[in-house]
Amino acid sequence: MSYVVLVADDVRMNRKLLVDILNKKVEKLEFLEASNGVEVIELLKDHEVDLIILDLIMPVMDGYKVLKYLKQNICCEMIPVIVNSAISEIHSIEETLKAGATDYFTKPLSVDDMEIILPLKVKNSIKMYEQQKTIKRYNEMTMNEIDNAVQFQKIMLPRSKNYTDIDLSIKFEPCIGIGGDFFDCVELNDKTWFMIADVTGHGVAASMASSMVKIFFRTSLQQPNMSPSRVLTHINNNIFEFMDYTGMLVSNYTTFTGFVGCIEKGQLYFSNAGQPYPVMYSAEENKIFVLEESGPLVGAFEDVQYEEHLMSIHTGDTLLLYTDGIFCSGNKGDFVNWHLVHTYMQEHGEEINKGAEVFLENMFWFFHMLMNRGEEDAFDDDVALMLIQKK
Amino acid sequence: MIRRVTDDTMNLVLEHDLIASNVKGLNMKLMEYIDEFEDVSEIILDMETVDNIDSVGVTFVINLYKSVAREGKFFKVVHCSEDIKQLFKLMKLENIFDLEE
Repeated sequence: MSYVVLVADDVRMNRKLLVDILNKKVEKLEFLEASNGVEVIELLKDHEVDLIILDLIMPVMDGYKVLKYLKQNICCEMIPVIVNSAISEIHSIEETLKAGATDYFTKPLSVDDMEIILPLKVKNSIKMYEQQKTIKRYNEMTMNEIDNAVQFQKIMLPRSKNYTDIDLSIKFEPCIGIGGDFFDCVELNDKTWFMIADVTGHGVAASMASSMVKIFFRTSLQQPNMSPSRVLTHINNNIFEFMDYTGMLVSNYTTFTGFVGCIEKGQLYFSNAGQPYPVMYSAEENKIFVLEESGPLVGAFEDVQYEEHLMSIHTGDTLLLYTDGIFCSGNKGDFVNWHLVHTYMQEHGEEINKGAEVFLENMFWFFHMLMNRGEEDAFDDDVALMLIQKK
Repeated sequence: MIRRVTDDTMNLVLEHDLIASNVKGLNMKLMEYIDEFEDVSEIILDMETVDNIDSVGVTFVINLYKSVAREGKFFKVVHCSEDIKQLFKLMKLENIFDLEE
């Protein structure tokens, strides 16, 4: 494989000198020649170039403008540029290097420059460009895989929907890339089941685990005599049955907090496995009730039995489920700030009556601002908000 | 993480927050210490310097507890902040191992 060096200089003899030196000293090079900046840009449109050796003073378009053009265009910003100019003032050298040139030689080239330094710098620049292209290629492949995973995650999660017994509203904001938040809702034989979970960690492994949680959740509902606590126990047992962590110190890939609820005939049955305490807003009393019941994380300990709890749920009552991404910035020690969510519900709960989707949007942005984020800044963690309104 | 062994007890003293970016290094250190668990009867995790913890950090504590329990040794967490105690309470870890201020 050969590498292409574009030599740009308005003096033909200078170009020939550089080509002759490099041909002699560096293997596997091919050359393109340009006598001004416009020719450089034209050649770049039709050729893959691995290095540019650039004169600064040229007619039609000078080297400064060429350098600026190169660094502003995504297609050629990474191509290394070695400047070879008669201008020896330090200001010009400084500005050119600041503008992104890899190196700077002053004409006339010394014998050492020609014989040793320039050939080595050409080799090093080409090698570095190769490495940069490899990293870019791998990054693109990784981003492409993540995009696919994000799309998969989207189709796996439910959207806001009206069910027979409840209205479900969702606000889901995954952090950059993919994460491990999971939620689901399904009607089955006069019961409305729902679950929210937050798998330990972020990224591909957490996302794979959240897909697994969905399968375990749905299959557990097919078992006879299920209840929320039995669902959690069933999922926990499945994890220990199917995952083999033998010989591994780390076993957090399938550990998660989770909350499972079931609404049937005006009753809410629920069981919690370490999920930040959900809040029930009673429209009738304009009051909130914090469901301060919990249990161990799923996937952490074998043979865990989860506790079952029961409360009445009336028309207009609304249950808010959320993951810790809404109140936890990850760097301020604010990991127990779920009480802020409770306070928000206390102060703004009645706004649910104006529209659940708007309520969730407002809540999301309230916490976004509370955590001192600008509009463009994403949350560090997935944020999942789930509002379940009893009809 | 600093290891101090006195008599029959190994103290593992955390020096930084217990968050995902630190846990990989902690697990590698733990691999060095784990063979020495059999020489003591008690392993104590000292969390005095820990202000921040995330879910990966919690699973580090759980995995450490499980490693210690497998060896049949006693495990407790000391000097954890009120916030960390609240989080451990949410996850019912206070029922699994001892928490001391």
